[in-house]
Amino acid sequence: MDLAGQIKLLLEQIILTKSFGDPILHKMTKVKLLIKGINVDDFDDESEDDPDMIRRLCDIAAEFGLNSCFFDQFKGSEMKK
Amino acid sequence: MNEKANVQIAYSQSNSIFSAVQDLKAQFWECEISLLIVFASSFYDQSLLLRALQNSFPETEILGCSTAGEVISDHFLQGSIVAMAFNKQILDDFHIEVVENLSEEFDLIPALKGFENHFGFALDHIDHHAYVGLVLIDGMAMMEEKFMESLGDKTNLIFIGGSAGDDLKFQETFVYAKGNVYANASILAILKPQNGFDVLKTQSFFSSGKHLTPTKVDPTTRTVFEFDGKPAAQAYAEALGVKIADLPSLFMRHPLGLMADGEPFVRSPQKLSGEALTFYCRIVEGVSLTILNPLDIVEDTQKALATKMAEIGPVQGIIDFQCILRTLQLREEGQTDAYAQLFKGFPMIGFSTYGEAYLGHMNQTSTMLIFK
Repeated sequence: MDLAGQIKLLLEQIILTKSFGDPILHKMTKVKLLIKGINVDDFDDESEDDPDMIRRLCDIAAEFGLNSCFFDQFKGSEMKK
Repeated sequence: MNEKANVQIAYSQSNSIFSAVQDLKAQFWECEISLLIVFASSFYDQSLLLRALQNSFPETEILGCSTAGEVISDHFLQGSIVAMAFNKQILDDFHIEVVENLSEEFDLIPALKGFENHFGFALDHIDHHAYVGLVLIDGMAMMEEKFMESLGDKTNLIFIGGSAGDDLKFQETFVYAKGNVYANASILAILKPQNGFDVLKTQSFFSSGKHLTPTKVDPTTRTVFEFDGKPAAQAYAEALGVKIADLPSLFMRHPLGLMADGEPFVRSPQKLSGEALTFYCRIVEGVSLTILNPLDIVEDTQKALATKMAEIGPVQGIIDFQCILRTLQLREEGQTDAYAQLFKGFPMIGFSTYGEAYLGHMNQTSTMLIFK
């Protein structure tokens, strides 16, 4: 699996899934991530992929109770690395 | 006081618990109070106070906590009790849960199940426009960050509140609800105000444009050992252009901010610990913090209130969770009365907290729950 740009993709999916697309919940989720130490705005399509960060985001998805195949595929790719 | 209002306020400075409770009761014209929120100085025995309140308001749910100072519309107080009473017209529904044993492996699930059973839906699917959460938490357990983070993980609701105080003794703080007084615990209440609600978070600081990134921390003791690879005290002093020995006198005026869309979540330094710095809340390694410059608290809060009022219209009541550090600064500047007068004209109570809650745990902030 090509890991380029996947941190931003993963963050977008976490925020979308946690907030159900609601703009207020979207903002709240970004703050919750920031408080956990993840500044969403620090990542873009060019950001270097970091296996530790991917693992951390998969953990956060689990803490948020977001269990889906989408997040599982990242866990899988991380484990293979 | 507040005749015909759905939200009523009262206060007492009587030394006697019995007299104080009678004093409070005499100020409420409404007999059918469904919820009573009480903030009381640690001067009062909280267990005796709760018992007296229950005897005087037997049909009313009571929740509250010990404080480090109290505030009510037009009066900034110490050693007093302030109370806000809600009748059935202002609250369509509410439910209260208690989470105990914060310092151990606390379990939020039973409380969340309690809410789910009461309201009929899970808190990650709750209508966050209609319901709001209130959180009062032990101010000495140092568990606010973990608790608020866990609450945020499992819900999609705004929880606003503060950490209980003990008049700067820093020994023990208490929260109470459901007829019991607790230490090492948190009270959670979810309210459904009939006319809606809003929140106001204001901290009276702005960005200095200078940044520090913690590179070595101990989150459990809220200690930062290094900023940007340098000893924390040295890096902070260099950024402010002062000597390390001068830092403690500048902590209150130049705390650090975790910036979210330009808005600071304030992290206040508490003390120098050798070359390290201990904070009043947890600092996360690797996330850039901004050094903040102060604004006038009264003037800035007035602006924030005016902007909010213009946006939402008439207000039925406000609960203000105000950081003890803001209170100390107001006392130092002789501005406490001016602050209390900002709320003249509508029912407001609040207390000086050991930390404020809104999405997370923060310092030097006023978080306000506004009933429309």
